[in-house]
Amino acid sequence: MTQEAVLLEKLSRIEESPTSYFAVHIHLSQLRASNRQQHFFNIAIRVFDNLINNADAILYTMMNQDLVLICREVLVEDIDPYINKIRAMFSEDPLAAGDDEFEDRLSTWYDLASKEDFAAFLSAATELSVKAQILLEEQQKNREQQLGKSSGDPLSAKNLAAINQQLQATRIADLIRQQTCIRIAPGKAGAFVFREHFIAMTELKERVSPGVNLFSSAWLFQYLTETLDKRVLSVISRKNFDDVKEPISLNLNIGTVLSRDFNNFNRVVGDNAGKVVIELQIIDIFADMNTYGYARDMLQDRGYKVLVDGVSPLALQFFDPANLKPDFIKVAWGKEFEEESTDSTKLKMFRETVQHAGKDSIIVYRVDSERAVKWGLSLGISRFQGYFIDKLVHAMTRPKVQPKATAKVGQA
Amino acid sequence: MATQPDKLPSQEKLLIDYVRRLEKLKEGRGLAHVHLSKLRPFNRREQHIRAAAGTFDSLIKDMHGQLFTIKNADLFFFFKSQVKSQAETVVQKIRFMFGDDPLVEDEGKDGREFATWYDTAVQYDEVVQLVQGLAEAEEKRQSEVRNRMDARQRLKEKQKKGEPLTPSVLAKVEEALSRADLSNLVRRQFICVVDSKMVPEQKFSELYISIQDLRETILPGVNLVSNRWLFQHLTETLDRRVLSMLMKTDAVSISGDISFNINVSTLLSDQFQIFDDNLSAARRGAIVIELQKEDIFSDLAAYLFAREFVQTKGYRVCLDGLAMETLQVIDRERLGADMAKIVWHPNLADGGDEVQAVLKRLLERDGPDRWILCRCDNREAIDFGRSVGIQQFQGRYVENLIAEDGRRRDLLKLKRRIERSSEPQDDE
Repeated sequence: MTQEAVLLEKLSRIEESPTSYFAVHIHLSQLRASNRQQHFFNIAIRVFDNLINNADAILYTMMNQDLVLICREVLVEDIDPYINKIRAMFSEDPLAAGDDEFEDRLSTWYDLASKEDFAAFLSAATELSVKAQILLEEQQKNREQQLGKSSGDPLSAKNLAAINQQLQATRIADLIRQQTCIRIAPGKAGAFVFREHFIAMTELKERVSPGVNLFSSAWLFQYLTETLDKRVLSVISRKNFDDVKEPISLNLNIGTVLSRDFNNFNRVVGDNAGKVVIELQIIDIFADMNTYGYARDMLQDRGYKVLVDGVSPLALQFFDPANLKPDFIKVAWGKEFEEESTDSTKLKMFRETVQHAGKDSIIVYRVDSERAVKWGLSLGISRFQGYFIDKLVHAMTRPKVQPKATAKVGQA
Repeated sequence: MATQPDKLPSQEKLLIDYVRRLEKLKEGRGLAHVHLSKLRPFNRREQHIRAAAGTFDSLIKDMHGQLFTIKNADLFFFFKSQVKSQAETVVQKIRFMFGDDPLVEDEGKDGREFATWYDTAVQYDEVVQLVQGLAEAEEKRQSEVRNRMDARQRLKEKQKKGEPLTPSVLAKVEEALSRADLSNLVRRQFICVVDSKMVPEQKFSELYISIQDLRETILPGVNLVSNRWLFQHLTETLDRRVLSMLMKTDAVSISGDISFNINVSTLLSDQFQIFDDNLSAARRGAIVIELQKEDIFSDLAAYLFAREFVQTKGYRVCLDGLAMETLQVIDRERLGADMAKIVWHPNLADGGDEVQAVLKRLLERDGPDRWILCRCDNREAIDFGRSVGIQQFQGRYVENLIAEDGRRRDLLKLKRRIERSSEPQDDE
């Protein structure tokens, strides 16, 4: 029996004498995807432990991660602190922000003694129950699908050695994909900035470890990327860089940049280092900033361009990537930026970053719509990458004229 | 083959040579040190520096001076005194080029200068020191990192610290960890306020597992920290063991406030929930949770959630492992941590006025209770910390101070006892 069904049953009992009963519906299902994680949810539930042990209150956890609290003879003031704790936990989420608005988006309250409220809550609870049924069916389906496919066992120290071995022996050249970053100026044709070369990870996973979820541990995955780096470098080293027209970009670990493998790659690249952008990840940079500084200077000295990758809109609120002094900073386009009209502090921080780093350093990526491009242009940003850009590139390259490498990396 | 800049004599080396030769010619010459390294990064691109350096061209062509552009983009222009006013005009021109940069806008504030002028006849020693300091800092930084990548160094490391950690060894270590008794590997180090007389006052103590001893106990001959990602993974296993140990033993009843290092993912796990359930509300207020910066930034959303969760429960959160390079990038206040730890390294003291100013500003903003200087191995660390306003310290040197203080107190007690026992005799 689902919690939703239990709740409906409870409601039918309350209906007989609803005096001093009320309900609070907490809409955790409306949180941003990044905040809708099971372990967050589990901890949020525990916030109410005290209340449930000490007052006449029951908490129902819904399939869609909403919470429903049914209380009897409890003061509203006694419930507020618990709701506020939840609000504080998700303080970065727009859902928790709107307390000063006309209606709170996080919670809805129902006085079950009022006929009108009771009816409204009953229909809300019924809707939750219908949703639960749908979710259950979906889960069942997904589970069947996933049995042979993605997810699988977590990556652990036990299977890591074997997978690492596999990675060293598996053919990967055909798994290297490309995505173009272009420069857009209003009224002009787009110009190529570089083509990012990256490994199609889901396909790679199918090839080396179909039963293992490579992404379950951030650290062990990072370890595997060090092996991958070496493989990618050896594939890319087969290029004749004198013939490479458009700059390319590669994702590498800082450790790789300082290794013998990169030295060999550097020899192949020769005088063409200006055609290569090296993308470094934030997590790698923060692990050892001193080494990052050294690697960055070394790369720039040899003529490579350094790009700081993995900056989310959220991360921008907590540090200014311009202080890392790279040539480029990739900032992921996110819904957060669209919501800025109401909350200007985030946008202000981003403007500061753009100003510090210089607008020619910023690349907006994961661009999936024209809106994202317009938003970027309005801030003076002109470099973009993403699905939407792929479409533009497709349209650009189709006409009779071959695309000319009009843009050199780093040129303003 | 690419040009290998490190095979050519670097500008730094040329600059040192030049200054050495200058000793005989120092009369009637001056130096303009133009601090382009302090410009904002977007003003400090290659083309900017080249343009700035280019403005000296006519003076150089006429043999009136010599220019060095060093790695950090600073310009060193040596000139004959008769062209000093022309040199000043050139520097003024460069200043105009960067008119929108805070360096120019804020000139004069807290000792900021766009250019520093020297009379080499009078200030020759100062010039020598300046140039040598720059070159040494660069050399040191290069050798520090290069050492780690060098095969010879790796071999040396292996001989000294053991085999590098590999996935299969990691699996064995984790297996062994699940059975090992860690309670005798727990170490404790105090965070103390140290006053001007070097007398320590204990604030709280950090509990940690000695990785060195752990290695000796479970897998001698393996260097557990040789791969940072594998080690980070290992710490997640350690976290769980430490939590269960803290609950089982009377570690929870250890006197005074305590702190320990933990991963964000562990804070969100069941193990931490169980640990938390076993604590009284008062005890939570006496616990400081230390988190690593790379862990925080690997999943910010998880960190923010976990931080809020533990802070509302009453725990305090401490940002661990900050260093000179990170101080400028990561802000404790923005991250909402209650405290932050800076790892002592001589480069903090070598960093000069800029690093000091950054630290002083942070200490003034936050107050001394929020900052700790850790891994203090010597008195220099304490002196440096106190000079920027830090009052709380941790490290081997602090442990020595505590021991010394203990001995002093014992002696004092002994002295009093002797005095007391001798008193009646005096009366007689």
